[in-house]
Parts: sequence; structure tokens; C-alpha cells
Amino acid sequence: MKMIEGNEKLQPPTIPEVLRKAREDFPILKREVHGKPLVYLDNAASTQKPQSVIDTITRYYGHENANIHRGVHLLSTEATAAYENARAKIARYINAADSSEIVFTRQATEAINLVAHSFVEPIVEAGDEIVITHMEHHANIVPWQLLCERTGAILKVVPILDNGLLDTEAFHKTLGPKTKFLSFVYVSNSIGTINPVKTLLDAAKERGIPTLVDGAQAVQHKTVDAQSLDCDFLVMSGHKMFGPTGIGALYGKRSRLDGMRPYQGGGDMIAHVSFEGTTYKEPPSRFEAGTPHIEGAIGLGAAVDYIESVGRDVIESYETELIAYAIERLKEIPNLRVVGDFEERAGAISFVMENAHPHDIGTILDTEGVAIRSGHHCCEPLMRRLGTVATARASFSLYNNHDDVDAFIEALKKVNTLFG
Amino acid sequence: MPQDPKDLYKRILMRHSKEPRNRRTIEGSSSEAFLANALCGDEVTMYLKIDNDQLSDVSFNAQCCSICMASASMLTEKAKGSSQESTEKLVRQFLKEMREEEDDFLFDESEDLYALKSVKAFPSRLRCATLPWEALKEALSAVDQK
Repeated sequence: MKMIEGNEKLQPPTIPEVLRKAREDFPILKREVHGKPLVYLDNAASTQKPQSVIDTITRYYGHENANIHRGVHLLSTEATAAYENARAKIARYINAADSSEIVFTRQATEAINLVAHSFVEPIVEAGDEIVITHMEHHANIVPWQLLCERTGAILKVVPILDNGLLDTEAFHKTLGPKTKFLSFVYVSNSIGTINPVKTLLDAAKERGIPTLVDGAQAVQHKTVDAQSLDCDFLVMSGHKMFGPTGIGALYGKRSRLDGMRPYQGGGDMIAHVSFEGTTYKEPPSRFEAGTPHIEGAIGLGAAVDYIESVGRDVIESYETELIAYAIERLKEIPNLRVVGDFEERAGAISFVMENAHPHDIGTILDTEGVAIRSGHHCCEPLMRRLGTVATARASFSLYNNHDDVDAFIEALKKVNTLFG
Repeated sequence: MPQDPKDLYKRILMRHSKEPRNRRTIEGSSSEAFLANALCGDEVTMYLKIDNDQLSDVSFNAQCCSICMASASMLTEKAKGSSQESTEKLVRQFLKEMREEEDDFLFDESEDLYALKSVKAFPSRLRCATLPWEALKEALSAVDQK
């Protein structure tokens, strides 16, 4: 283990036994970019895929491929079982009461749009209020703006403090008699803030306000228990938790899903169709019109298996240590400021440099093999609130280690050499 | 083309990005146009003043990366004093050549703008270089419509 001179408390975190060989599970981490080993620190945008997920998808197309919920033949039966088994895995993963509380969607984005259309729209009238926060991803802003345009409801935004934390005092004042729905992010994708999710949900519950938690950046880093949170809806994104793109999941309490109108019409969501009228299936099928992303769902199930094989407690504590190590080492870079002044963060570190624009930082790091994100991270309102239009963001996953952090720091020093 | 950041961040580009020319507004401009790159948040406004079909003044304001800043700075220097028609032609040609893979480039090594050729090796940064040009194109076509 190496010590960084002049900073005695700075010790790279010890990699837990179960993660020692994690890098070998992700074939892409062996590749080089621009002649340098890949240092992948863009996990908040999309995580890499373990071989087990890749193999699951290959096996599906090589052995099981058929449409689900239709044929009586063996392949269709097997594909249906695999698809429904994936649903059950995700239900277990977030501790839903029943697997029928999991609806497969294209992404977290579609899950939020589904809730806006099928649950919130029928219960709001002009002048009613939808509450979100200032640190939302565009996916948790725009669907509500569209809903407000359609219904005349009003979008209320809970402010954040200068340090990047939610203004909880203002939050309590924002909830009022006209609040019909609360939707907020668990972990900020752009700056890594962890919101006091239970406090917010309890306050809403006291007032009888239904809730949605955007868990897209939480479920891969922390144990998220839908029943103990007691939220009405929770959304997640497959490709941000080692699964394929094009698949996400909506958790909804069965009592909520039961009363909801369909989102899209088509095959597989109907009980009976006639030109006089159509009846719809029970949840979750009611919300899954048409042939779904079968291999995506099965791949996501394999991703959940992978995470559970490591253990979320291990992931959370290791990533927390790795991020703390990175934050500490970033202090070696003059002219660099970490955005968001708080102790606990998950997933992402956002930063700006005095002399170099985030886009330039991103390019120089890329030529060193270090992949980060630069831009507004689909959070324009948050960026403006923090006094910038863009940041550079390094985001971490279970396969990152102190070598990645060291390469990241060395690459940042090159930015300073060029832009100094 | 191999990517070497030293090629991208040539001295000329760094000089223009650190000390951009004509970074100011034009009061009473003939036309102006604002463009943003939704991907990264770069924002550029180009201003121009036309007297007798000549661009008597060209300037810009921007909140953007170094490539975009340098490109805007060099563009204003180039366009200032030129005719509207020749500038329109130049902008069209530049935008076309930046999109194409061919080695052709409308500027030679005697001009600062030659430095932008290196951006062609960095496809993710092309838009940074072209944003001010696209904004100037809009500003010029807004003049035509007046």
C-alpha cells in the first residue's frame, strides 16, 4: 500500500476480498484507449457490463429466444419464465412486497413519464401543485412540466443550499394543501448529494401526498428497500446498474398500480378486446403494452444477481472510502474546486477548474485514457443554481480502485500543465 | 488521425482562448445571434455591424470551452472588414470542411485559423469549433431578412 507524502491520513482504501477480482468480470476494462489503459470514471452515465450479463443475453438469443406470454411451445414458455424470473429478482432486490409491483420500462425516464400520465394526471386539477427539487435530472423535471401544461397544475421546486444539499426547511414549507405529488431524486447524478429520503417521504406521508423516488443513481450504490422507505413509486435504470440499455423498472405499490389507467395501448396489456370496448389486464401487464425488451429484462436480472454476489453493504462502504480518497487527492490539484460541500456523497464527484473548461478537461483526460463526463449532466437548473453552466464529473463503481484515482489525478495535473 | 492533445491545444488556440479578440457586445449591431450547445452548455452570441455590405465590426460574447472561445476570437478577426457575401461563403465552406474527413482545409499555415484543422481529429469537439460559425451564419441570414 502506498502512502501519499505529506498527507498521513491519506490511505488508499483496501479492496474487499469479494471485489479483488471484480475487474476481471468486466471484459471492457481490459481495453486500451489512445494507447493507455482504460480508466472508466463515467459510471453515473452508464456502468460497464459484467461477463455474466453479456453471457445471459447471448444465451437468451442462442437458446431461449421466443416471444413471451403467447406461445404454448417450449421456447416461449422458457422465455416467459426467464422474463418473469427477472421481474421477481428485481422485486427482491428492492424488497417490493410482490413481483407484480415491478413494471418493466425502457428507462427510469419512461417510468417517471408513466407515473405522470397514469397516476398523477387523473388526480390533479388546475392550480394543484407537483413538488420536485432543484437538483433533479431533466427526466424528473420535463415530464412534470408537460403534465402542468396539460392540466394547469403548478410545478413547485424545493431550493437547495449553496453547499449543494437540499434546503429541508424550505422543503417542509413547500408542501401544502394543494400538493398532489412529490417526486425527488435519492442521489444526485451530477454532484453526488444523498438526499434525506426517509425524512422527505415521512413528511409527505403525514400529509397524505403520494411520492416517487428517482433511484437511478441510488440502487447500484446502496441498499434501497421500497417497503421500509414506504414510497409509492421508485424508478431505476438498467444500464446504470450493470444491465443493458433500453431497460428500466418502475416499482409501484400494488394498491396504487391497481387504480391506474394504462400508459400505452397494445398487445399483452389487455384482458379482452372488442370494438365495443376493451378491458385491461391487472398490473404489471397493464403497463407493458407490446412485446417488451425481453433480453433487456433478463440481462437486468443477471445484473442484479451480480450486484448481490458482491453485496450492497460491501459496495457502499468500499465506494464511500474510494470517493473519500479521491476527494482528498483532488486537493493536490491547484485551481480545482469540488462542487458541493458535504461529507457524504454517493457515486459522483463534480468539479471545476479555474483555467480549464470542463469540456477541455474531458478531452485531455480522454487522451490519458481517463473517461469522465463533462457538461451539465442533464441538470441545467442545478448547474445554474451552483453558478456554473457545466462541470467535469468523475463517477465511481465497484470495479474502480486507487490506481484509477491515481491515473485520474495525474491526468488532471496535465490539464494544469497545458492550461496552467 | 491520431489524437494528441498538444495538437489540439496549440499555442495559437491557447492564445486566442486566454486572450480572445473582440469579446464584447456591439451597441446598435445590425444583427446578432445566440447559439448554445445543449450537450456541454457552451453558449455563444455573435454580433455584427454592416456598413455598405461590409462587416465593419464583428464581435462575440461567450461562456464556453477553449476551442469554442479561440474559434470565435479568430472568426471575428477574419470576418471583420470583409464583405457580407464573402463571409457567408467562407462560413459555409468552413462548416462543410469541418464535417468532411478529407484533408482539405480552407486556411493555410500562414493564418491563425489553420490551427482549427487539428480539431478534425477530435470528433467530439467539432461542435465546439463550429458553434461560433453557426451563430455567425444565423446572424448573417437575419440581416438578409431585415
